[in-house]
Amino acid sequence: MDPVTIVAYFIAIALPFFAVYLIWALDVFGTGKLSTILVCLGWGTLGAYSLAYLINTRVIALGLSYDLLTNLTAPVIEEILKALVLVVLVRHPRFRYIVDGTVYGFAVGIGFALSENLFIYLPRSDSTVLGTAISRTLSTTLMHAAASGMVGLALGRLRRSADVRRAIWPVLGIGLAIALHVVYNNIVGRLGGTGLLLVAIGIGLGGSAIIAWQIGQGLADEKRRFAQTLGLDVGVSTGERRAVQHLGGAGIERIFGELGDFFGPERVDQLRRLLVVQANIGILQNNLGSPASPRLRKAWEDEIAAYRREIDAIRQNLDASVNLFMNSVFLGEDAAFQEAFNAEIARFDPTLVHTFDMFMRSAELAGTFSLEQLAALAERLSKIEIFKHVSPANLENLSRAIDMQTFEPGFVVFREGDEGDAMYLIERGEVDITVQDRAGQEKLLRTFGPGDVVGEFSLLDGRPRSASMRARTQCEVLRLQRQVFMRFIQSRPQVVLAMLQYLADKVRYTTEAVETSINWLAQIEQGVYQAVVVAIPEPADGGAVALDPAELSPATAEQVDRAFSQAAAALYEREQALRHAGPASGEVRTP
Amino acid sequence: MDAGHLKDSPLFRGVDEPARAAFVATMQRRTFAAGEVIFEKGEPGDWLYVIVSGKVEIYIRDEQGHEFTIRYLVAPNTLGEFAILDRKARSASARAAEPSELLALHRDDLLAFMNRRPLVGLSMMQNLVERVRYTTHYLQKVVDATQELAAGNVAGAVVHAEPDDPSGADIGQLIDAFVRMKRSVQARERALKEAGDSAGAS
Repeated sequence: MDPVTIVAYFIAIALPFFAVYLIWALDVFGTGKLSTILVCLGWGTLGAYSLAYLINTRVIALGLSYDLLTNLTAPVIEEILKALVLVVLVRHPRFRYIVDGTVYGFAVGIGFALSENLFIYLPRSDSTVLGTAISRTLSTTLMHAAASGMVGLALGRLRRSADVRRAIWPVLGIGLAIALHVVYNNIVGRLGGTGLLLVAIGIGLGGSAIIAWQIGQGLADEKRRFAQTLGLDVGVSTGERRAVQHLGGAGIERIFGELGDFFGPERVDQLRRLLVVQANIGILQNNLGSPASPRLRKAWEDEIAAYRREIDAIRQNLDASVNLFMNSVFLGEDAAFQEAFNAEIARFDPTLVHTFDMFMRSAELAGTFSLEQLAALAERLSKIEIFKHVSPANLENLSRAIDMQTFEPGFVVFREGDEGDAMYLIERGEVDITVQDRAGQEKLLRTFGPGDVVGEFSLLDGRPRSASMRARTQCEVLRLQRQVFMRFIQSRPQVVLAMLQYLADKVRYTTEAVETSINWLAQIEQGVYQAVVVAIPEPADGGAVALDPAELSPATAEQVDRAFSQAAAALYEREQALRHAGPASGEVRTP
Repeated sequence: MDAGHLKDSPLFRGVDEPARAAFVATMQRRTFAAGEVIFEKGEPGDWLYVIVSGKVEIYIRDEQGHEFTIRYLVAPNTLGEFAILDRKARSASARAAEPSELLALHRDDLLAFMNRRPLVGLSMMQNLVERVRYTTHYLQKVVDATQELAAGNVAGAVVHAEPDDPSGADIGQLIDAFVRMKRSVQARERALKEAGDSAGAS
């Protein structure tokens, strides 16, 4: 064999394998495995080619002219044979992703072209013209790949479409494939060298363009399908869409199920995170549209930047096919779809999405206060123990949800036993905190004035109020509702952490108080009263202790210590009295 | 260990099943021989431990170096959580009272996990809120009952404990101490009265 022939054969063999390698390395197929691609390649090379050879020789035997065979019957027979494996593959339950049909088709076509080049073209060709050999090999491969790619794509669209006219897809696919094949076979024989090369390039570019366009169309179809799953028909009015949305968040669940079928369940978590992060970016960008202090604005921008970095990191982990799919279906430029979709995600994953900010926007609460007022409010909040670990920007954001209320004297803001649904900051005036004693008499516990906070712990636990609050004078009160507060913190782990820190302190204080108590109880149990004698109790407050979770502090243990000390003193005195009591004491009467 | 173990942990109960499995995957398994120290008072605390098996002793030393046991902890309790939340030094020492198996969770891993699964943080928050409420409530009851006893109102000096304590607050110890104290005070006073009576009778 002369060197030119060797090079021609080498190209004929290497090219298909290089193409398959590219498909595999770029990982453009979503649900298939490399083995499926190899099956397709094998079918093209051996199965489809052998059957085509058998049928074509029979056709010749029947007396058909060789020209007619090449120019008409062979393309029809070959395209149908190549398509057989595709028909089987797209029926596989795991076939979900239309791009895969195209990839399978490419592989079949490349395989078929390999055999055709090796067994028909190269043995017959004028092997001294290397350019023609290369052009021919290249163009045959491109033509077969493009033709079968179209069939695969069409079958994929048939499989995924819910349209009544979907039967048109396979007809169109095979029709186009045959047409391409016929045109190619009719002109290829008349061309050589440069002309052939141009045809090859033309087929390659044209085929790619058609396929790329069709993939885009198919993904747009997928997007419509997902929108329908969510009740978000794009193009429907906002009002109608809202009505449908209230049907529930089951749509998202179904979508995640489908994404799992598409790309494997192990990727669903990543995709879910991607969509959640995307939703938060959208929400924060909306935030930037409303007035905010430079500090808050910067916090939002920083958060967006952090989310962007997270998205980049997730995308690097995902294959090209998944990214293409997500880009076209979920992360497009379609603002209406995006907003509706974000709302769905928020309903489905409320603890991950900034629903507080969505609420602020939809309730048009943002902008109630001026920027200066918000800064002042944030400053007020930062003085409250529960917020001491929360960042100023977060407090400013939270302050947007505070509302101002005015109460006339005597107005009961909440009653003992009511749900603890809000925290109040007294701005002006005074309020009384009262409880009902056993006899049903109202007992005043204390009076709060400007700067005082009522119901701080209710933000966290929402338990029924242990006392009532009534306006003593005309009051101005700032209210932060528990529901809004929970909405705020649930998607902000750093604020949750601040709450945990606050609670950890509280637990430490109670632990100290419990240890102090146990210590006292043990001493009294053993009749050890030295400590009582040493620590003279202060009878000023009568030893009354009213423990309140919000007011737990390092002083709590001391308070408890004092109460026990006084109780121990009383017990000690009684025992002393008994010890010294004769019958004259009158303490003890025997019947 | 199975992730179901966390289900009953006072700190992590309420965390849902898939999150529990992922959570346990971020922890390191450590075994301690009987007597082996887990952490010392005053050390910076970066690790939280979930007890899988065995028994852990929490203790402190007084100025003379005498050791005092504060409490014993068994599965599924956690230890060291407060130091990792508020970044303060360990407030007591811990050692294995018998061969023990613990799951260690680093502060950074906890924070990273909370970022991805905010429900974990929210569950912890809810659990701590309950613990604070619960402890405060019983502390108040015990203080009040002790004061009633001191005022001579024995009938009012009663603390009813709930059958189970979900919070890990160790309220049982407090109530036991109260009951023992009350019994002992009553016995002492009865004895003194009897002594007084017999003295008066003679």
